[in-house]
Amino acid sequence: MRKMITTKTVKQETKTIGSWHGFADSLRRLVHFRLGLTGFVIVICFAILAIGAPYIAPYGENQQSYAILQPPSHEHWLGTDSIGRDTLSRIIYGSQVSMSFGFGVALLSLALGVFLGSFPGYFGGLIDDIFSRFFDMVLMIPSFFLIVVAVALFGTNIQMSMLIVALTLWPSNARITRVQVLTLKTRAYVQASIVSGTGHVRILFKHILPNGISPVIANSALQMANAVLIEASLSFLGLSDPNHVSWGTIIYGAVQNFNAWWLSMAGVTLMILTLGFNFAGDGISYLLTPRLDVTKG
Amino acid sequence: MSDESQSSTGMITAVDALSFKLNEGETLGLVGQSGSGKTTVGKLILRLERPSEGRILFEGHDVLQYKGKQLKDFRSKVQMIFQDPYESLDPRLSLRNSLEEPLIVHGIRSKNEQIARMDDVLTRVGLIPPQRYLQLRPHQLSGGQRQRAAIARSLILRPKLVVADEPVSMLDVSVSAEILNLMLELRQSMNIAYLFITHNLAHAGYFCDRICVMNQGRIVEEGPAEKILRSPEGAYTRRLISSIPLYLHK
Amino acid sequence: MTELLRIENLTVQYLLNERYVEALEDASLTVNKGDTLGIVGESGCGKSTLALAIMGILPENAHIKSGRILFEGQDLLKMPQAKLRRDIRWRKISMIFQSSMNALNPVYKVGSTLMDVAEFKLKVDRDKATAIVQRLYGLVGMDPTRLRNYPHQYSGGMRQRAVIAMSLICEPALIIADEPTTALDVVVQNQILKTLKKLRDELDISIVLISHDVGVIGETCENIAVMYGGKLFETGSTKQLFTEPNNPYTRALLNCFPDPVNPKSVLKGIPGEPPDLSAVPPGCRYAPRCTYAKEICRTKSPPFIELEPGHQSLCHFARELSQ
Repeated sequence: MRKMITTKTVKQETKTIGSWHGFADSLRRLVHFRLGLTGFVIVICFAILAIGAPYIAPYGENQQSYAILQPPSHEHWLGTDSIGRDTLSRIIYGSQVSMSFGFGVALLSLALGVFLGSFPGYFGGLIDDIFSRFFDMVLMIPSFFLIVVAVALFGTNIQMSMLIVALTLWPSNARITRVQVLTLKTRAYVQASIVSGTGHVRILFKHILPNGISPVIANSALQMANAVLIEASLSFLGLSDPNHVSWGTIIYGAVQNFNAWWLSMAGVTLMILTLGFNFAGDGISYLLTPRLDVTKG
Repeated sequence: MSDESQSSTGMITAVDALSFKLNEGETLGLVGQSGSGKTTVGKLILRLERPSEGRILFEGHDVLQYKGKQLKDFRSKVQMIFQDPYESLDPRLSLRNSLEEPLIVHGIRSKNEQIARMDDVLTRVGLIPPQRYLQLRPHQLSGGQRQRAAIARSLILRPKLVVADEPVSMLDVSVSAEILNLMLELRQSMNIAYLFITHNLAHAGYFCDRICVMNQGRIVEEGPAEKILRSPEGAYTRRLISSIPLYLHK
Repeated sequence: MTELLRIENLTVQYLLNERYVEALEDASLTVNKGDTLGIVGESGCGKSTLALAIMGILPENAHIKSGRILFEGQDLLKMPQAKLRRDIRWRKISMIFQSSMNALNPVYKVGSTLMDVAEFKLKVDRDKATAIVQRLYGLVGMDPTRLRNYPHQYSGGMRQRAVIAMSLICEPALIIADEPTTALDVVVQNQILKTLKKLRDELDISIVLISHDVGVIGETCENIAVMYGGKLFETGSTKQLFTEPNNPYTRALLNCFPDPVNPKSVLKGIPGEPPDLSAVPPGCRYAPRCTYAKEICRTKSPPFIELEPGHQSLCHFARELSQ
């Protein structure tokens, strides 16, 4: 049923914050927002690289050869490192670690943050005070040092690292969730549910969280960017899983072998992916901001 | 059945030593300007807020003592219609989902029974054919239709009392009149008592059997609707009435 | 009677989601000096669009398809923005909105805000500005000592009156008030309407009052224009429209307001919905909801028929209905 348009409808549309008017509608709007679209495209490209690495990369991840420290050439588009491994292939394989780290950390952080943030928002009072102070405390911890120490202590296993990083990132999601829950609790449809006798859990999961999750998702995109950078930093410092190549390791190679500038191209991909997540996050924010679709007439 | 409350709340006294009674099938108007405490009274009755003192007796029992199953039971008998039709339905859910919820919560799980009730209630509020409206989401409906849907939801558990908090204030006048008439009709056919909360004395005069006029948390005058409007006794009430633009009916 | 404002065949469209929404079609009105004109209608009828068009502050996606707005003989639609800003807006024509009371800057004292306007617009010094502002406060029934308060220390009604005072600084010839009292309590509303009437009487200012509340318009205005679905449906004096409403929509609309004197007398709404302005059907825009509608109403657009001098109705059967 096509929606009738009166001027009142026009005004009221701006009230429905973050409402989901359909996937097709969102796609159409995204196309207008070039930056956001670019971000999504970049992320999708890297996802393809990560998944298809064995098929896309010309050489193996750890395939050594006698062509040591060769500059870019026809056989090796981005040259080779100190034991003859193809840089381009290693960068492509490196995206596996970056993408999985990015998504994994963001997901964990989202789950933890939303879960813990719902309680203070919903129950308020003393619970709110206690939880909020707890969030503040965790935020005070210098996260990178904690990560380095924890990784040094518990090992460089990739799952472990993801967990540790997520444990430092979740409070921002919790704070956002808390505010969203606080606000949405006062909405008439939530009150109507309460008046109908609906239980707390159902109200939270069916009414409040779905309507309030949007800013958390936008934040998650930024956290993915952050996670990718942290992972690269860890691997640069040699604190990453030695079984999988990571961009940080490749960049370190450029430090060790000062003339092999082509090894620092991993830094370029790092930058592009980080920007990609940032722009995608902007895109999500844009999609979720209520606005009239004003086309210049 | 009577419903009596006496309460005051919070650090700001929103409602101050208030008492009134509402009988079965009766419409009582709670009329006041903004800040008079009328909305708070509605919320107290529905246990959306707690008073600092006082009792609320529904069918003879103090609802403030209710917990668990008793509270749930109570919630099936007393419902609310909210002011803002653009907020009273969950924007992500279809009407069907919104209407299903109270039924599921109160154990009515048979699909047939659910559909029967939903059809019944949507037909009563004029959203016909019900099957078509069940699929729709709130943003596909007009303000008046949304308010009808909200009324349908409030009726689906067959309540005895409906608290209507400014149900027509945000609607166009042509639609308001229709909704008020709808609510009166439902009162007849379903034997519902209404607590009609509004700032519009003229609407209250049309809709209600009796009116309580509120000012700053207290009831300053009470009586049959026609009497309050035609021969008010209190000074505040008289001021309110003299402020209503009367030109239309001179 | 000198003519102050004349709107001729104004048509305004909005571009929304790549569709054109006909917010206002072929509107023609005249406001003479000292007139009070009430524009009454429900949401989507185009009354706000009309007001914004006069002031030249339509939103970006608005498109004025045709028409003229003549103010003191000059077409405002052809005037460059700079001239509008300098000579017309807040000088010759002022506007008060429903949300005007929230337009006062909360970090400045109300007096400061008003003084700024006076000094800037009138190019007078501090002392003269103070005198003007204080006088205006008296005019709107406010205590001048309150000028040193902040907006949050005022009630809603007081803020609205402060804004009215602000709109009077340049002694405009015309004030447009768009739902000025809708957000206020009925007692305060009454005071504000009395203030507006006083301004008309003492300062000979013309007022265009826009509202959905027929009673408010009836109390304050001498002439009324009823709008529906982007068109003017009936115009005339308040007396004519209230004692002998002609147009079916006007009649139905009047029945939507409860009678405080006879509270239980019949109250009828209008079934149906306002028309979809992005796809306007042919014929009369009110036809789907009209109890008198005939076949011709659905196919042919009704003419604007003059019944008596000054009283016009948009209906095929205007003359028949007036019997």
